[in-house]
Amino acid sequence: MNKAAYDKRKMRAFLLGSLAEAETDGFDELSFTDDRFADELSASEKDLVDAYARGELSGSELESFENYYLASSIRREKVEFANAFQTFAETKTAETTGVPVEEKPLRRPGGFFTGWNIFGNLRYTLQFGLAAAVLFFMITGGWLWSENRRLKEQASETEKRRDEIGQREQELQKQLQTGQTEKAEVETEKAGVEKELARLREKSPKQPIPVAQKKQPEQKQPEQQKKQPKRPENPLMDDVPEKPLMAGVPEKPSVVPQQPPVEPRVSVASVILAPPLRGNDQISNLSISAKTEFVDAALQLESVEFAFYRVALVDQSNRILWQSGKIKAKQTADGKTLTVRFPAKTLKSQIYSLVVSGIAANGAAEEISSYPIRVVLN
Amino acid sequence: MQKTESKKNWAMTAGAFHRLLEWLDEGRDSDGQNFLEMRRRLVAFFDRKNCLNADELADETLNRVARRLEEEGKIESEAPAKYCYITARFVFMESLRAREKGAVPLDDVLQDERWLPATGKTEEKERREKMLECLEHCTDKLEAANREIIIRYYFGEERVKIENRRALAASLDISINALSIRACRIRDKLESCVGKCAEE
Repeated sequence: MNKAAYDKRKMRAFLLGSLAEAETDGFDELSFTDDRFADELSASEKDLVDAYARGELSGSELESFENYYLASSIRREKVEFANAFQTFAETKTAETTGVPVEEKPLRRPGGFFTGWNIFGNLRYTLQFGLAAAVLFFMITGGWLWSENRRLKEQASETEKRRDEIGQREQELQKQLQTGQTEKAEVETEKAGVEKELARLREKSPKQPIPVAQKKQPEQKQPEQQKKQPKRPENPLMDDVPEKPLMAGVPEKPSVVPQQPPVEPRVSVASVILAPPLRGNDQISNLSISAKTEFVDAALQLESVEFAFYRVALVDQSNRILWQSGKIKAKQTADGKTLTVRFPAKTLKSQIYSLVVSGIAANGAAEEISSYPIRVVLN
Repeated sequence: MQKTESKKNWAMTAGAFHRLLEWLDEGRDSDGQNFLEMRRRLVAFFDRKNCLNADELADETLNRVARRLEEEGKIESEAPAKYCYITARFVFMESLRAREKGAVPLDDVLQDERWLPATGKTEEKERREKMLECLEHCTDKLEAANREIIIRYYFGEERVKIENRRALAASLDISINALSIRACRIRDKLESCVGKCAEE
């Protein structure tokens, strides 16, 4: 046979009875006729037996060894010798080197030919240990998976809630900004009203103007005033009177009639709104231009239950754009009316509402009516 | 009929045994070592075939070869080793036929330890202690060099063993193969010695 017959793995398979029949016959013949093969076969067998004695065999090789090789009493004796020789060799080596020998469990000839002893058979102990370890890892893995899933769900819910809170926060911010904007607008309007009031007070007709006033520089007088006769001059003044005074007749100081105040031109749009009726979808229109500064609205009340009222201008988003202070209803030819003036600059072409609330004695406000109005910007 | 009866009644004589030894030596005097080696191979062959009585079948094989030599004066058809193998195969086939027929001697069955109950731990321990004593005794009988070879060659786990063998071969200035054969033969002698010692 060629050199391939000296393959160590095949020799082992031959010794364990797992080689094919044709090859087995060939190895049998070689074991007689080839001295070198016979020697190598003998050496392989001793190494195989030593490997079994040390527990170095596993899997199918171990199975074949226990089921086939140990079937023979002669071969079992070889294993016993190997076990004893291992101990002997280790003891001798320890005596020589001074290194103590570890006590290791020697492998008894096993398989079908000895009593079944689970604790003495390392293979079964390993199998049970492995099974227990696998079971442990399966249980642990299952628990970890379910925990992971629960925590993920929890995290998802927390994130959802966080988003909701964030959204709510944004809404509140917007409302706050709106409130601040309205407050600023109210203050602006208030400042404007105060300014106008101050201006009006400056030009009030109740305040008399003394005669001995210096001649004022010529002002632009309305045409009406130009037609009036000349007024007599003040004799106390340095200026020379135009006409001689009558003798002996003291001049009476005359009161110069106050000129009507010169009001600045303000563009105001007006609208009268009747109380809204149920089932009536008609909306009053209000046309304004870019120059319109104010809107005067007269809101007719159905009934007068409250001493004071408040009117708010609200857009389609229910946002309050302007709000009045506490106002009283006035009696007009059309009945009780609330009159308000609100700035027109922020108005756009859309529908607004003038919401009327009655203010109770304790200060609580109660919404009583809403007047829709369609603004048309020209 | 007579021939068959004479075959059954044939017994190895001293002359036949010497003729057998010479034939196996093939002109080189091995001092009986070739005979012992051939017998070992025959026992291993029958043992591999799971024959209950491998020793007896090995002896039967050698008897037949010796008888043939005596009857015919020489065997030139095959080399001694191959002729022994062929004869062994015949002996094996006959033993198989006999087993199938159920004609297995009761003594053979009882001697087969497969049918014997497993030994107890105490007996095992005693046997092991006995073996260790015999090992000590048999190893002391070895030459010092052989004692060192046998211990160093077979000591240690797989990797350690390989390294030990390499170092040992290097120290003896021989190849690992040569060392392996030498260690095997020493161990065979040791095993044989221990086996006899343990039975005493």
